[in-house]
Amino acid sequence: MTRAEVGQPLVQDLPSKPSGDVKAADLELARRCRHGDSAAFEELYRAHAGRLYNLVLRMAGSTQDAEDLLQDVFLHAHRKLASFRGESTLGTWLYRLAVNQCLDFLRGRQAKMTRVTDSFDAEGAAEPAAVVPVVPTAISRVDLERAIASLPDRCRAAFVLHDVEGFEHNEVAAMLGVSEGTSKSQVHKARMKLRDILGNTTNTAPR
Amino acid sequence: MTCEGYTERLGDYVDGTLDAADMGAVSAHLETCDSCRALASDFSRLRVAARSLEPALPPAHVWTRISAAVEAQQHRSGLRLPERLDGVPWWRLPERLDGVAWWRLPERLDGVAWWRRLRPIQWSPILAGAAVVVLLCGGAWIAWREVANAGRSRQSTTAASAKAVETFESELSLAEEHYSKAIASLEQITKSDANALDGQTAQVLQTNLAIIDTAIGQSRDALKAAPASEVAQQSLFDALRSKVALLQDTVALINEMRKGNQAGAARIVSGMNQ
Repeated sequence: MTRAEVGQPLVQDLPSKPSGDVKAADLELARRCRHGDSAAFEELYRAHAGRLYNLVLRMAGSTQDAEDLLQDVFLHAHRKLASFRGESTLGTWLYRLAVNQCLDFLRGRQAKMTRVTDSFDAEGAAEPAAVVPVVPTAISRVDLERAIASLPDRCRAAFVLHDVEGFEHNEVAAMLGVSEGTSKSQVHKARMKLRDILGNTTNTAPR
Repeated sequence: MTCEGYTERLGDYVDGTLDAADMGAVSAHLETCDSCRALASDFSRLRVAARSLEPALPPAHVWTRISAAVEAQQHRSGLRLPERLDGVPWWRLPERLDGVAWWRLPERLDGVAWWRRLRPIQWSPILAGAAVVVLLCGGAWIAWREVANAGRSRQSTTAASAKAVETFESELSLAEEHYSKAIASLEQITKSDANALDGQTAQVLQTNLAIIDTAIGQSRDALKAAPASEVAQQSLFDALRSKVALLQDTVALINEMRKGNQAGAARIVSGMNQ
């Protein structure tokens, strides 16, 4: 393993503190949206829907749930825009709404699927038995998306926020309402599970 | 330290968040342990692959649903606050809101507590107290008036229920009117430009519209039978929203076909099929 493979901390490209111009533009856009300007609301949607959709898609694990969640996020945002004070960027504000919406959704679903999640948590991480890497160098996007979707909810949420979205463990912990250690543990379990899935996918794929 | 101990640190190692001493210790262990080196390598590959996942785009119909829902939300709450209301003295607000009932003011003001939208009067506890008194007096006066009216008619409960239903129906009617206007204008566009679509696509769209029209008709019948039913109301709005969404997608499809953008048209059709 080379030094280059050892990651630099992943850069989080979501500024939390807006600059003066951004703040003024965000406040103006929020004001227009509040006043029923549908073009402004569409502008808001076009600017942020892509990033939010990726988040909710991977957190929820299915396109149907992701579409419903994205709709809920923007409808919720439309109702709550009055509370936007420009203390963060609109992007960050929407992102937090989306994370909270996803967590509510996952909590609701988890209540119905406790058995599945707990069984994975109880069995813990698999032992690192392989002596050579089993994850292919070029992972197919489809395989990876499918593997992420199959993770238990809590592991998936931590993995998506940390490895896909690039948040630090302390930020993930704050968003998920868990300790930093739990965030690390969930990401570790997710990586072990993904290694297992993707290793098996590679080994069983027709050659 | 055992392999198990190192395994727990491999996450921080590939994330590059260990301090120099720990980084050195883990690196030294990886030089001698094949299984931990394989695991670290896999973690690193996963991390890189996860971060470089291609962004997925939300289907076109998600926006059409959101915009229709927002429009309906605005009309149901009588929102659409005119810009000129910013800075209106609070005591003149009711007349500027065309006699809107005071208890609807928060909705009309887009969810903002109404006193926050006013000319820069400093909101003080005294004013808060005064407002509470005014609101309570207003509420009491309205309640008294209701009771007085009820006393005259000797059918207070029936009258209140009838009034609630009447208010509900008028709001429903407003929202439905909005949808109907949107549908009519979209239908006009799709009919006048329908020749841009191939016969098979046009046929499928017509079939889908007919299905939605049936759902709209059934929802209206259900609402007639139970005017206060939230399920029936939601069903009608869902059907109307679906029709607006389908028509909007149709207009977008026609535009793409006219431009000769087959890829764009295929994307829209794919979105329609989801």
